[in-house]
Amino acid sequence: MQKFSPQKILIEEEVAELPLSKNILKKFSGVPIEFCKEVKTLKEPTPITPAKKTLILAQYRGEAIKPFPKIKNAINLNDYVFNPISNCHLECTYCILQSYLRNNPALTIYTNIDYFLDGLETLAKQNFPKPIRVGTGELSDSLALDDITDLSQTLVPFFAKTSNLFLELKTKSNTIENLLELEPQGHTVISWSIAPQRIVEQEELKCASLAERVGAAKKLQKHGYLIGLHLDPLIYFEGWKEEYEKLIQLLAKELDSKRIAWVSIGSLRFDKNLKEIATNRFPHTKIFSSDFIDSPDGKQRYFKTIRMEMYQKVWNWLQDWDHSFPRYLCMEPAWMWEKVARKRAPHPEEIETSLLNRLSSFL
Amino acid sequence: MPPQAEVILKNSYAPAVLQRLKTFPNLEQKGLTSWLIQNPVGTNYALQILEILKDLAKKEARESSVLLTETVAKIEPGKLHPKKLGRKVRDELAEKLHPVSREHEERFEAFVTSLNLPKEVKLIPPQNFEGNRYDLQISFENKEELGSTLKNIKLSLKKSAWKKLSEF
Repeated sequence: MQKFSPQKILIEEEVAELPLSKNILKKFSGVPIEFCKEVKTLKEPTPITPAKKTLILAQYRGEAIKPFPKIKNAINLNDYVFNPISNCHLECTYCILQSYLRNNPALTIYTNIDYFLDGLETLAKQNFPKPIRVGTGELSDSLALDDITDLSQTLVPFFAKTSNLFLELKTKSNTIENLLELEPQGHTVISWSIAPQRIVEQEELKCASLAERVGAAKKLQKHGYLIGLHLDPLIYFEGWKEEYEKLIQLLAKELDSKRIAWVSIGSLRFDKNLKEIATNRFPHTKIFSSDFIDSPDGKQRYFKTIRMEMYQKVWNWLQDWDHSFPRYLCMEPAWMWEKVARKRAPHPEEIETSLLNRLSSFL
Repeated sequence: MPPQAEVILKNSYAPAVLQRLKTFPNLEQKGLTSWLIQNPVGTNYALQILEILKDLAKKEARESSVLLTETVAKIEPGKLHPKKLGRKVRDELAEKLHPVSREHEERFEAFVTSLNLPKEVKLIPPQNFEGNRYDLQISFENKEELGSTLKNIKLSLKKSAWKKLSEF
């Protein structure tokens, strides 16, 4: 994986003395720094590629933690999200952040981490009937910058002490050094977005190779972590069947299925903005030129028989590997679940319960 | 692009067409521009054709202008009004870019034919086949005609061909 190396750091005066800000600045001692009152006043639309080389250290002022945004016409789960980092230095050609953050692409770390911890404590104290799953992967890769932020050193012990919160850190990196020094106590799942090496090379630029991701997952399983896998986005290309089957065979060979928390499956989807931005930034990519249709949520998706075939194959290969870990389709409606699993589509609560039961079984 | 071609193009199309043409490699721009000048298909068709061509060229790793020439040759354009030609070219190109969905649509059309529904009835699938809820559209002039059509729909429902509906 290519490490992040900013060309400039912008820091809000208000967070300059916070321990996390100081630690980060220490790691980039040679990089020019500019101070400002509030970064928001400086933010303006800038080209994405150079903007991602600027690091902003700022104060988070929004809602500390919130339910994961729901998708129209899809089966949605009950997880929560908080975003200590906005944007990502990795360069996946299909990354939706290129469109979401197009007016605000500078890589930002919110260093008032206590603000998020307070939000999490408040969440933990609410009398929810079931435990809550929380992630940090909505606006960034959860671990790609962990050697810079050391956030896992704060978050993993925090979640280990709670009784009703589980953390999921999603990544395409192999930055696991901090994690190997921590004891998750069954409350942290480390998840990898996984794709055939051919896709990694062509579409997941700067990310860890497939072998590096699987190697990191194997190490963490041995250390006591639960591992999640996200076969998302599946990409349709000539030879996809062979490549994805080989991928699952590799996972089956290298990982202990009994310590897999869950596997999600999704396929490439994008809005018109993303296609334009991505094809301009990555002219080599061919993944946006295929048999796509407009779906009811406004995104482009592969025509349904293509999605169905891909999901059915992957679903069954996973079943053949080990039917005991939960599998779920990501951002797909009930009718697609029924076609793929060949049974009634589960209620979102049922899926949530199956994920939580899986987690509880390891406590 | 030669300035003269740019002027002719501007006279026949909205500026968006010129903008889109400029996203093609220089050599291809020439062929595409001259075709659009010779065949004033209208701004909408021009934009759609260029968008599909761009994707198709990428998908098949071939030049857009070659793909356009091949497609036009298949259509026998001499007999068609430019707008009709535009629609035909767009549809032909879309079929090449979306072979799976086109094949599905054709299978669905064949399925509908096999149901022997009255000609006043249209079976409409969900948009882009996303979902499993269908609409039935019935056109009629009076109660008698509606009654007769409903009777024929009931007859059609006895056909075993209906079992195949779940395949779509």
